[in-house]
Amino acid sequence: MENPASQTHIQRSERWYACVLSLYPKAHQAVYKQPMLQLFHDLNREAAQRSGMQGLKKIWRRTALDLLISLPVEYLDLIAKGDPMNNRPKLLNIIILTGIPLWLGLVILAVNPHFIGKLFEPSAAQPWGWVMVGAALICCLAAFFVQRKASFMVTPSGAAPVGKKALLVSSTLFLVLPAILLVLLGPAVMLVLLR
Amino acid sequence: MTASPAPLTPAVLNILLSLADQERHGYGIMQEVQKMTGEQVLMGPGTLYGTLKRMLEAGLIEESEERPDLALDDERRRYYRITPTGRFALAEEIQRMQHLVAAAQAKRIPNPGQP
Repeated sequence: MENPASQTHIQRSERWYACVLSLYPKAHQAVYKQPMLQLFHDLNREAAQRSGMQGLKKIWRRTALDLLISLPVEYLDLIAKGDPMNNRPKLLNIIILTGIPLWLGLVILAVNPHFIGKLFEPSAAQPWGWVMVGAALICCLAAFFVQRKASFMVTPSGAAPVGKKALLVSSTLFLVLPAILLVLLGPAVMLVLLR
Repeated sequence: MTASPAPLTPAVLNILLSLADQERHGYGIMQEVQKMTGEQVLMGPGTLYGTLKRMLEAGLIEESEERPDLALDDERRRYYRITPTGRFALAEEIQRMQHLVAAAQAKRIPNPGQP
């Protein structure tokens, strides 16, 4: 073994995975967080024993791919079946899950010079890309807090006193804003692409 | 005659196959799948437990309360076993694959590595 992994590395890796698991829907976490942690612990130990730090890196590459595939699947499952952990309206989940790819698309457009050349490339001279990235981050954070507040304040009967407000704020942050930006950006992108 | 069920996904097929001879926990399933496929199929924890969840809902597998040996095993592990429905679905899938292999042989499709 060229570069052995220390106990600290292994424990750190497992702590990171425990943090990453909180990205999964709460209902999924409630049942599968412990077994998934246990499985990762087993994989981690085996990989570290077999090939040291290289083994840990390999496990993380595999885990990153696994997250990319399984996270959207679990959220789509949540939309299809509803969230058993709280009474948050399905519509709110749909809005947010539609909005995230919209924002991500916008950020990719904003930072990718291949699509829009120098026009919106983030730089000191052309700050549009950074503005977009900042706006996306602020919107995501704001929506996260709205989400938390909404799920706490929903009553057991399912009537949500802040439901309408949460829906309004979420749809503004996740659908209206990116839609406006897309409408504004769309023609510019087309012009640059056709140039 | 009942309609033939839809083909199983590779993950479901591999998990059912790994549970065909004995009940296993998540890590055991993963190791068995790796062994069966010559490390061609490497599932991550998210994919494995997501698939197990949907298989439980479909009645293809069930959780087992039995523990082979508590002294040797961690209590947090969940064990799974195949149900009669799962066994039937697995048999159907294997039959479907056998038909495919027979059709490929009839068309003289060579094995990889053969001229």
